[in-house]
Amino acid sequence: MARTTLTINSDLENVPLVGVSVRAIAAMTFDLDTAAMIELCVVEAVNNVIKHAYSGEGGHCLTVEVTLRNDHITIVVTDSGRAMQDGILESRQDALDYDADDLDSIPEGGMGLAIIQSVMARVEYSRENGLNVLSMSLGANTPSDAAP
Amino acid sequence: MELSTEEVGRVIVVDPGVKRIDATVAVSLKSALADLVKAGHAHIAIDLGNVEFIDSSGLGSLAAVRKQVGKSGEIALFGVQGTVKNMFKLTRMDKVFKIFHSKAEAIPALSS
Repeated sequence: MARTTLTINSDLENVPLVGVSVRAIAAMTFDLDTAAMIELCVVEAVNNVIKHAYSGEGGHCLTVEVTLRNDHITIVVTDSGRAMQDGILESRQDALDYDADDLDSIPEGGMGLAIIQSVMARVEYSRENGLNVLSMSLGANTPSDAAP
Repeated sequence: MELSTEEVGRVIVVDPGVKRIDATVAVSLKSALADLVKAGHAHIAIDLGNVEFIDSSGLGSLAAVRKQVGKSGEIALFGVQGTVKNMFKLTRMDKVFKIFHSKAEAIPALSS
């Protein structure tokens, strides 16, 4: 098992640093297309933390713990901001199920959690001791809706 | 955000000039594209040839402009690379935008 923890300030300018780092780590186990999708999931998760948990404020800490075990990657994003709404993971699952021919139904936001749930095999959220903990994992041999 | 633009007939070709269309640039990209629409451009071809990454914020900015041009306008994308193309497929945005291999294909499609 190999594990590292990345810590950033809650500034959107820092998000690519985490995303690109996780992509490189993921590429040790996954093909490059899948590693890129894993980067996307981390970016979406961290963007959500900055925009929603921290209301866009800089100066707050968030961590991204990445664990590689056999052919699995587990990513845990932790922050001390505002809690996610109850049931939001479930409620966002159909955010990508819109009518592409109906301009009014095309989403301009709210896609991040749906993307994460489409790419990753397991996504869980919990509130632990005042911290938001979003855990997501994928195996190299686990089917993903987003498999290229 | 300063876009590179080229007008070809009624089509305006836009190069966003960034490798990543993410939350750091999404708002300014949306604003810059909206300015083009307000200036009367309803047929926009966006060059994504140098774009290596796009997140949902970036897609949202493109979706907003697609809505802004409405049914009488069109947004075409060209030069879309692998990772970015996968993102469009995943979010079904490949059904929202006309996607072409090259500028040479995109311009005639928006000109007719």
